[in-house]
Order: sequence, then C-alpha cells, then structure tokens
Amino acid sequence: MTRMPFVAPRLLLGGESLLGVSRAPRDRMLAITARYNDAETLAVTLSKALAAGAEGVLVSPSQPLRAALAELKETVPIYALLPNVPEYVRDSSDLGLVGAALKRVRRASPATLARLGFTGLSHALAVLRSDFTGMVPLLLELEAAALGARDLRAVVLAAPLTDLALAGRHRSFFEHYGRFVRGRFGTAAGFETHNLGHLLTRLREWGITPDLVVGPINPRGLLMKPSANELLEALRASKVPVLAKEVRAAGTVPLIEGARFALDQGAHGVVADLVDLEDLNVELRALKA
Amino acid sequence: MKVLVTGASGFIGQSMVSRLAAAGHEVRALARRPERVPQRARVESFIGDLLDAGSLDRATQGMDAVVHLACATGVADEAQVRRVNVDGTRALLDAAQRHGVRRFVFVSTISATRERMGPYGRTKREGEAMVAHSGLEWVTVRPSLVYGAAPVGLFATLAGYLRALPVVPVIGSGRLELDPIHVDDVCEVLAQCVTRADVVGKTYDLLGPDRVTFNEFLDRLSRELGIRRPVVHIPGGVALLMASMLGLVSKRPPVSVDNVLGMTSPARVDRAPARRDFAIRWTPLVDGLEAFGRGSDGASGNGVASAEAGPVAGARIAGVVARGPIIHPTPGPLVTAPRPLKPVRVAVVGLGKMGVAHTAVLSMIPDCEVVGIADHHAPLGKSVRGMGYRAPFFTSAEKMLAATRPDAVMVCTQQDVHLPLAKAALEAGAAVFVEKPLAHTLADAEALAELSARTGLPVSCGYTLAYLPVFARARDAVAAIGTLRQARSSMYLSQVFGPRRGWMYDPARSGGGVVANISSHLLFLLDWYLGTPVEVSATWKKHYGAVEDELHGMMTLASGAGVGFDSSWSVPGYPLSAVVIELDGENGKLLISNDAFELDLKETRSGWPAGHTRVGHAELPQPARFDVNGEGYYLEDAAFLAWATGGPPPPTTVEAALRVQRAMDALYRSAAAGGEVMRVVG
Repeated sequence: MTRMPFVAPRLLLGGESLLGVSRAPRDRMLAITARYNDAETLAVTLSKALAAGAEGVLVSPSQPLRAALAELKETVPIYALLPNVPEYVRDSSDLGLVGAALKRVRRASPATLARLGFTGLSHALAVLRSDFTGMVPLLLELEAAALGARDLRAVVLAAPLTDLALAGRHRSFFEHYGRFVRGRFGTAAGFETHNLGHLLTRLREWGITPDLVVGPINPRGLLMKPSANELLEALRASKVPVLAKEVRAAGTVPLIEGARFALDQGAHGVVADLVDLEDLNVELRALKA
Repeated sequence: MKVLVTGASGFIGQSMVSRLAAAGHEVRALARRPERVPQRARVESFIGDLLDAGSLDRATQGMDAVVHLACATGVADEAQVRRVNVDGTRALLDAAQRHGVRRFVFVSTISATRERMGPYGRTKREGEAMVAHSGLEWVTVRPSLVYGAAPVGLFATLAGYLRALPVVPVIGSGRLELDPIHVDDVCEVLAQCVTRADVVGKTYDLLGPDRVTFNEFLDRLSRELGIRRPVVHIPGGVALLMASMLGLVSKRPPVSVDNVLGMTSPARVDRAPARRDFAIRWTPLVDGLEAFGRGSDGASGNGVASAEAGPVAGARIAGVVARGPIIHPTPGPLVTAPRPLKPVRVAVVGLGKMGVAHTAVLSMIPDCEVVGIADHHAPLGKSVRGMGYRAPFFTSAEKMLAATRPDAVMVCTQQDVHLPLAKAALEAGAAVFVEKPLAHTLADAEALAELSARTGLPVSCGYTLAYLPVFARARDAVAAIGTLRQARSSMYLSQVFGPRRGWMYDPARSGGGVVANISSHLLFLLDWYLGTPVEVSATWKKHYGAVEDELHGMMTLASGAGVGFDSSWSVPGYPLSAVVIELDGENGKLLISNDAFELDLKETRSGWPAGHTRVGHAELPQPARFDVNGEGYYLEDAAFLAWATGGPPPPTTVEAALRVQRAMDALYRSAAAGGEVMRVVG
C-alpha cells in the first residue's frame, strides 16, 4: 500500500494552554484550564472545532484529553506535541530527571514497554552515550502511548527540546528525528520552537526538511527570535511548511488580524490555541474562510 | 561609555540622548539651546556651538565617543552651511583627536548620494570624506526621511503644512520614491554604532522598511491626521527657481534648494548593508504613522502631554490595547539585546536545569564561546554532550579553570557552594555570574561581595526578572507616583504540595525555602524599585519539611513607608510564578505584574500622563535573541558578558544582590524569632 504524501494542515486547534502554560494573561489562562479540565466539555469543544474547519488538534498528552478522546465517537486528527514538558519538569523537580522517566516507565502498558525495549535496542549506542538521537525516541514512545489517539497525524517535538538541540547545533539529531518518527509512528515529523528564525535558518543550512514546523509569528514581533525581521526573512527563504502560533501576541491582536499577518508573511497555516478563541465556532469558521 | 552628542536639542538628538542614557552611557549633550535637551540621569547638558572651537575642545574632553548630529539644514546661505557642516565638523574632529576620543559616529544624509546635490548634500558629502580620513574609529550613517512624533524636524513641518494650509503644494510629480525611517530606528542603529567593533569604517544608507512614493506618503499621513487637503503639483524647475529666489530674501526659507532636489532627484542608495549588520525590528511605516497620529491628537489637546513625552512618545507602540493613553517618554533600558564588546570565553559550573539553560543561551550569544563545562556528577556531562554541546567536560571546577582559563564563569550550582566556586573563578581572573540568591548565608554573600571588590572583577547574580521588559520598564514609572506611602507585593507558585527531596529543600544547602529559591526575585525588584528596607518582621509556615513553604513579612523603608511581602510555593493555581507589586504614592498608584503595569496618576509627572495608563508586556520591545525557559536568561547572560568585557554594569551586580541577601536574612531571622522586628544589617 502506498502511503499518501503528507500535506501540512492550514488550521489546527491548539491545546497548549491545557497544560497551564501560556503567554495569555493569567486570569484568562486560569479560566481556560478550569473550563477544559472537564473531559466532556473538552470533547464537545474538539468536536465543534472540527465542524468549524479545524483540521486537527495540536496537543500534548493529558488525562482530560485522553478521557475526551475516548468519549468522542468521531476520530480527532491529532498532531501530538511531545513530550509534555511542563509535566516532566514538575516531576523532575521532585523526582529528578531519571525519577521522572522511571515514573513514566512504571505506568506504561506491557505493549508500550515492549515498544520501548525495541526502540531502546535499535538506538542502543546513542542511549549509552545519552545522546538525544537515542533518548528522545524513548521519551516519545512513552508519551505517545499516553495520548490515546486513534488518528495520529504527526509527532511534533516540543519547543524546549527542539531549542536545546538547536542551541547545541545537533544536526544529526534533527536528521534522525524525522526518520525515526516517520518510520516508527507512520506519521509526519515536526518541530515546535520558540526560536523560529534560528531554526529555519539552521534547517536550511543543513538541508533538513521536516514535514512541518510550529513557531510564533504575529504583527507585534512578540516571541519572534532572533528578531521579527530576521525571522520573517528566514520564513520567506524556507521551504518548510510553517504553522504560526501565538498569532494574537498574548491577546493584544485580534485573531483574524494576527492570522492574516502570519499568512501574508508566508506561513503555511495557523494554530489557534483554546486561549486565543473567544467564540470558537465563529472564529475558526472565519479563519477557515 | 562617555558619549558626546552634538545637535542634542534637535529632532534626532533628543531621542539619541535619551536612548544612550537609558543604555547606561554617560552622555554629554552639546546644544546651543540646552533647555531642549532631555533632562534625565546620566545626561549632562553642555552649551556649545560648532562655530565655537573652544566649546568643542571642552566638550570632547574625557569622551570615549562622539555622535555628530549637528548640522545646518534648510539654510539658504551656502557659505553659512559650509561653515557649520564642513568647518564645524573639521573642528570637532580636531578636538576629538586631541582628546583621545576613540569612536566618531557621523550622521550624514541620503542627500549626499543624490544625482544633483544642493549645499546641504554637498557639504555633508565633504564631511563624510573628512571623517573617513580622520584616523579615528569612524562610522557614517545616512538616514532617509526621518519621522517620529516630535513637534520638530522636517516631518513635523510637513504635518504642520497639512494642518495649516488650505492646499498642499507638492514639488514635482510626487512619484519619487522615499523610504521614511522612524527616529527610534535611527537612534537604535546609532547607539549600536557607538559600541560595536564590526561596523567601524563603514558607511550605511539608513532606509525604512517601506518604500512609498511621496504622494502615497502624504496620503497616509493625511489619513492619520484626519486631514484632507487638495494637492497642487509644482513643476521641479519652477520650484527650484522659487527656492533660489526665496533664499535671497530669507535666511531660512520655507522651501530650500535641497528640499526641492530631495523631491526631484533620485538618491543612489543601498539598503542591504544596514539590513545585514543591524538586526533590529524596523518600524513599519503604518505603525510609525499610526503612533504619530495619536501623538498629534494629544498635542492638540486631548490630554497627552506631548512636550513631556518628548520625541518618541508612543512611537513604537502599534495598535495598543489600553484604557488610557500610552506614552513612552524615553526608550526603556531594554530596547536591544546587550552583547559582549569583544570575544569572550565562558565556562559553566553545575549542570542542573539552570546550568543547561545557561549553556544553551551562551551558545547563542554572538562572540561567546563556551570553553568548559563542569559538574561533579559525570553522567550529566554525558547528557549535555548528548544534546550537542561539545565543550570539554570536567568533574572538577578547579581542573576546568586551570585547563580552560575562561574570561567568565557561570556558577549554576546549589547555593552552599557558590562562594568557594566563585572564589576559585575570581582568583583565576574570571568575571563571575552566580545563580540567585548570592549564597546560602549572609556571611558567604558578604565574603563574595568583598572578593569582587578586592579583585575588581565583575560579579553578577541571576535575578532574571530585572531583564523582563515589563519589570524593567515599570521601574521607569516608579518616580511618577511621587513619595511612596505604602506598598504590597506577592510572589506565588504551585510547586510544593508534599514532602520533597533534593538540595532545594535542605536549608543547609539552599539557605531557605520559598524566599531563597523563588521570591528572592521579588525582593530584588523591591530593592531595585524602592531601595533597601531598614527593618522587617515576618512569620513563616513550614508545611512539608525543614524549609519555609510560605512567608509573610512587613518591611519598613528608610522613609518610613511600609512594604508588605507575601510569598508561597504551596498555593494552587500558579503553574508559572506570578509577581504582583502595588505601590501607593502621593501622586497616584502603580500596579505591576508579569502581564503589564498600570499607572493611575493625579497629575502628569516624569513623562507619564495624568489618568490611567496601561503598558502590557506584549507592547514592549522584546530584545532577547534566543529563548530557552523564557527570554530573560538570554538578556541576563548577555548583559553580564557585556559587563565582563568592559561594558556598563547590569542592574544585578553583586552589590545589589548583597542588599537582597541582607533583607532575606532579616526576614528569616524575624520569622525564626516569631515575628520580632529585625534590623537589616549594612
């Protein structure tokens, strides 16, 4: 069977704010986490988002998400943002990095443990060297299993890990990541970054083309690294499909205006986070249009 | 650096003086009319004239750099133009050479590149040649049409014509293309020219990001001002004749020959070098004009104090979401990212979360090389290497110092070893950055400060909030509330909800709980904004172990004002740490949080208008060039390295960190004594 070529989505619903980490004002962020902590509410929202034109959801594994996906009859295309870094950081401050990893291993199913073992063996040398090319695949195995997704479209590496490897100029990791994700999960491979200009420049220099990249683009230049102009220049020169996030610049720009700016500047699509949406149905439809 | 700015009372000059002072430079502002020079800390007004060689001689004494803006423009008498632009520049260059000034930044004009040049363009061109042959470190910048919200300059004159005249005369077809550039962008580039080594000996055409015809430009400006006027085109030849004739009867005619040529003769410009060398956020024309429209409204009487606001009032802020007007009287201290003044070799000790973050950040700072990494736990070295970092790894900091001989060392370990590690680094001749707080005991902190003073080497401490734009900018607003009556503050985080392991929860290693590990950041901000308290009282609760999980204190400043201080890492609802500071003064209130700061003033003061003003984090310039765990780490590391290589000290010096440690020590002593009032030592 020939696999269909991956076409990057134009519009995703983002769920980063479900983790309680967002650039939006604190009150807004708290309201979102409280509202969507309920699986049923989240399930209804996901369903509405798809009906309004979102092509999927960019989200990290969490208990409410897993419960919401289980509740829905329809399948939700998932663009998995892995790992759930805030949770991992919280665990590691208590248990240490190794302890946090062991906690995930302990709660893994036998099938996940088998996959973990296989992936570990196939990356044995890199694992022994504690190299990202071996360690990150193990982490992805553990975290992907926690998603409970029936329709996994892409595995997107979370920004903190992408950016650490980027600053380390770890070219072989970036090369290997795509091969691993496509081979292991049969999905597209992407990177999320808080340093979009740097990443696009480096990927171009290395000749690496992931299936998609997610990063901040907005008319205020907020979070656009190394600078707004340099990022936009790198975006214009890049062939990688870029999905813009943070288009509302922490709520200071209307969603449509922010999205229009990103698309005008050459972004392939937009990720509208739950925290960005006042009226999900109306705004997603408008974005789709 | 000590910088002389000529033409300091002019349109660009006023902004430039504020910009340099905000960046920590000592500025001598040379002007014929010193009353127009911005009055602020680190600015010395100096009366002088380019035609008075004696004043130039005195003005250049003790200066490291000169930004030469003064010129004669719009003057009809070519001899007079030459006396100022050529003879005056020569006299200034001579004085600079005599007094050992190193850097000379010359502000020319794109009129010096036109196919047909008037007196202004010709004399500026001659000035460029003199500067290039001066033997000084020189940089020449040729701005295009500079615009901004100040009520002076060519742009303001144009706006004035639009308002005052029933018909707007346009010289030529109006189809000549312009690249208007915002005054803030010009000042940003000039400020970088003062310090950067890689721009020496270069000439930059400075053009804005949007190319428009003059007709389009006029149309946009009219829209922003809400003024529609019919336009009359005057053929270029006729206009040139008129300008020449006006020049015979007026010293400063409303239209000069240079103005006419500027509208009819194309300039030969190249935007690429400036784009390549200055990675700044160039202000889009639409944003700059929008702000100008607002500024103009204010000037015409809606309550925005344009005179106080100075030349850059709100100019960079587009599409603000605010209940009141936003004014930025001077550029904030964090308009651009600092950087080392020369290549610097840095080592990192401690590879916990912070050590890894600093290693990543340092790897992205220009002219910074990470030459060594040390941690006593060998597997951490392997992990960091596995992320791609190739610097040599050591399990002993001493061996690393001996092997790599770094210029600077980042100490990112637990607090109880800050002093011995910093001492080893200082004795090896390296500048030192230590993560906050300075040490686990006041005695260690005092010893570290004393070591820094004795060696004369910079020591900085990781109070990152000082580098977040919203907290840095808020500091400029504190003076506006007048004499402080009282203050309240809090810092909360959801982190500890049960017994925890690790050094952070061991008082012998960390020095304390939530205050030492988290809210010493808040203590730093309070000290930075208000000064050091003289006495404190506090109570604490230890819910889960040996260190305090919450602490509630009251601090008294030397003025007698009380400052409330609440801190906990055991409250739900704070996945990210959240700071709130409320200041109540005789002229109003200031509320500062991670999201924004808000002022409510009775009367306009320190450049901030009466009424309500809100400045959101997202509305401020975001200068960090890399982001790992937030943007503050890049700025604090870059500011430290700038200091370590001869630049200005950052706000987080060892002296400031010691003051925080003293306040923290007093809070802990008071809490341990059941809330007894304790004096803050020192």
